[in-house]
Amino acid sequence: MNLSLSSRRLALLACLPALVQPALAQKPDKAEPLKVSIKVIPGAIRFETTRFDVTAGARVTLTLSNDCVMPHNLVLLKPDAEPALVAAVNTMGLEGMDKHFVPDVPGIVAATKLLQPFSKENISFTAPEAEGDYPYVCTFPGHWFTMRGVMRVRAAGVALAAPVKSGGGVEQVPDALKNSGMTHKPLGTPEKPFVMRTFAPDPGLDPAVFAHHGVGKDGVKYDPATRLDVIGKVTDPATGVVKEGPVVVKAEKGVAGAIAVNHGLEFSYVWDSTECRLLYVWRGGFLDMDTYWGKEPGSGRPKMYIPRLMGHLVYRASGPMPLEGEFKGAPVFLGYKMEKGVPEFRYRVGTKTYREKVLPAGAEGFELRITPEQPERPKAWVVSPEDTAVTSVRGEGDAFVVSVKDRPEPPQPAPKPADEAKTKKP
Amino acid sequence: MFSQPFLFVKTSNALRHPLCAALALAAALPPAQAQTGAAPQKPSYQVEEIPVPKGVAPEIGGLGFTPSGKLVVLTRRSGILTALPTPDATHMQWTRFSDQSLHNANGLFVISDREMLVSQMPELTRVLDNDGDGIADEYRTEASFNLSGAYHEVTAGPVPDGKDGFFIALNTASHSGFTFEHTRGLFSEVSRRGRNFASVQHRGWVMHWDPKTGLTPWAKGFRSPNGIQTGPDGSVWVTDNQGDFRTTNPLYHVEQGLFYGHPSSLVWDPAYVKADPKRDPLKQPMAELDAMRAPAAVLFPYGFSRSPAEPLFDTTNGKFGPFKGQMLVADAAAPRIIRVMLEKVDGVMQGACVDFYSHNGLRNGSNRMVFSPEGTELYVGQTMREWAGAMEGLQRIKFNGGSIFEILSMHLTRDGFELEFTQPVDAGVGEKPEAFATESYWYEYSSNYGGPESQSEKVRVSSVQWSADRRKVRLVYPKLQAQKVIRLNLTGFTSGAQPLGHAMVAYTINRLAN
Repeated sequence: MNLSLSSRRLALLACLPALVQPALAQKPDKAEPLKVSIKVIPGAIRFETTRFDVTAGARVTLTLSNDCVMPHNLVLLKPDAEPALVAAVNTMGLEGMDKHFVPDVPGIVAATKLLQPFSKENISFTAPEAEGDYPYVCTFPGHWFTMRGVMRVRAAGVALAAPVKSGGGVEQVPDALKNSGMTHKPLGTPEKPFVMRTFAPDPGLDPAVFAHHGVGKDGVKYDPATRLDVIGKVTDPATGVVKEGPVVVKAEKGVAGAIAVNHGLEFSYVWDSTECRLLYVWRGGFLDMDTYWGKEPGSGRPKMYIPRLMGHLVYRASGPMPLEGEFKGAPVFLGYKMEKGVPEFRYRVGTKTYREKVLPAGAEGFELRITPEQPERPKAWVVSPEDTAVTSVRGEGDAFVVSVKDRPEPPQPAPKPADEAKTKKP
Repeated sequence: MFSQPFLFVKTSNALRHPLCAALALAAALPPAQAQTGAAPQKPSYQVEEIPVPKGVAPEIGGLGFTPSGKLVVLTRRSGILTALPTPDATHMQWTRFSDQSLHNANGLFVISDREMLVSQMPELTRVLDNDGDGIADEYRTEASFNLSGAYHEVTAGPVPDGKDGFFIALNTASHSGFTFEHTRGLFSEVSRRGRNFASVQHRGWVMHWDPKTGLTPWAKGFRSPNGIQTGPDGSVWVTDNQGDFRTTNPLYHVEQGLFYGHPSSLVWDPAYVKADPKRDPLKQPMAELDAMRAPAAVLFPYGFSRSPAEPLFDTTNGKFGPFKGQMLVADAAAPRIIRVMLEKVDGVMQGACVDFYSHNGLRNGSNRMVFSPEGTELYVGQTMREWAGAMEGLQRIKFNGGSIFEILSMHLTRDGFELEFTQPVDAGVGEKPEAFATESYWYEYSSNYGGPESQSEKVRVSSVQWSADRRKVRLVYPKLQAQKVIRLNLTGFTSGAQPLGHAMVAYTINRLAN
């Protein structure tokens, strides 16, 4: 990274006001309004355009585009009107929102509504006849410190300068994330598996597997202003009838305390730090993080934040924890050590402590190597009746080894275009 | 009022000089400087960009230094990196201390080159390099955090309690997201409601952890406490974010057992539930909640502080400028760091805030900060991934010395304020009461998602009395009231023609001085 270059760029931007080229003089013409487009710089509490010129008496169409996550407006004022306006906004109290923070005071030339994030508005007005500098500000409380500009009214026949754009104090800083080369489809190798704690998909596991989780329910949207649930048009899933009702936010299938491990394209698994057990194994890919991290850096948080499985499942846990027949109580995850690049998980159930490794065993099976840390051995690995995938349980030194044979399932679905579209805006 | 033409600096030849141009971009540059055209001094504080290796998402969740002087950078999804700082920030030799296994890691406490405590979504983890090869080989779980499965349930801390323990703050979930069908921890349907909510235990709490007692709930009523710090005296400080039940961004002096105003966490308070098992905090009258809550030490003017993150006390003993012992607060949604001047009045912490550094190369999204061991540099890590725009990266602010003209302190007196400046204020400036433009306002406690300043009024200064050395001024006000923020704007103040760096200061009065 060349810092001297970037500081030179900074200098150039700051000098822009002096370098703007005068545009051709524009005559006031009622048929052709002067068009001005002002953008809000996202997250910066600034207008991108900080100065523009109009001819006295001209018709002006001003477009305000708010691509920021906060609401903003634009209020254009007569030259001396700002102190009274600010004072009036400060006394609007909680009603300010309803009035778009535009108080009834003299000296307002034009004003937009309070624009919600990612919306725009056109307003038309006639430029004042008096030449001078007309400030414009966002009157959302506090924003006028930095969110301001000036409209210069010029006499007819005077050349209009091109609009002045603010550097915003943001763009000069390098976008370190976009330049990072961070991959959203990480992969490990058999020699150096990739370990990642993340929200993981729940591919529809037997609910009995989540014995030590809480039971999450759908929620409803809530409006803090009224302290009531948000009421909207809701479709009854059974009848298809649309009626008014609370807007439901469905609970989704995810694993909160997951540890996802990948040994390369051919072997991946999710081990859960809440249940302290292997949840599922898959082959043919790992996780596509776009649906958690967003499609590209800085593209905003996606609506979904569970990564997508790539490949096909070959094992899913079912029934209660296999060790539970031996010991009572919730499992406690104690962490893991990396042993030759492979994580060995450690957990406690009751008073007994275990270490557990998950290892591929050829192309069609895998092993759990479980090492008790106390002299007493568990009497048996309790296999649920439907868990026919377990082919053998044998002792090997301090450990006992559970061999499992793949039961391949159809490939996981590819991403839907609709899901991808969701990730574009927060 | 605040009608300075912040952005409209007259362009002169002098401004074509890169340094001067950088000054011209200053957000709060008083007009005096542009008019006088005074020769620019080297800026006292300068921002440098610190590149991290390719393939690392530079989303900084924690910063620290090892006792041997290595910078430790915790990222939210690319693990932990270390490097010995070099004078040329572009040539640091980075080592990956951990793999990329940490889930949205957002808090770091460095114990040694081989041992660090990290908070990540599901737990507090001790990351250890047992064999001393410089790469962590053990991730030991020290405490488990409950998760509903919402993206917003992030952590802040651990910060040391001065003994063997640590404090950690746990965010609530946001209604912009969903929960999972199976939650980590017990699920409460009552507290699933809400704009920001605490459907699993201890979301919205500050927790205490130590190896003997484990994890215990310590204080409640938080919404999005993305900044926690302990002071040199052991005091606990938390910043929270404007939103529902948060009219503006607050800084809290947190004391054990107290409630800090966001109600969702209350369902996980056994005493609250025991008093009335059917009580739903979201339905409780605002007046009752208001009576229960502890005040903020400082209410940051919104727009000035957008999304406060980590607070950090200046423990450099003057190596980083004249603000010894004061607090700096990172802002994760504005290119700004705020300075806080605290004092205890009638047994309650309160104080003033002023802009410390904004724009001029500082990236938006500052989340975590740490001073270099020498104290002459402030490392600043940014991340605001969920929001629009580029707000991720690592920078440092170097202190170059030089002349700094700022408000050094603001102290509440029996009948007004005493302001101290870092340099003598020019004679003829600030002689009349009108020079101290003052307004007072308050933020009403409301369930609304943020809100405006209310009860605003201009306040008249009745007398001005300067010290002989012109460094201090006593302002007398006819009447001051508690539960007010007093905002002063010292436009046009100069010291040897140098304009006051940041002219706006806001003091939160919880208690009047006796």
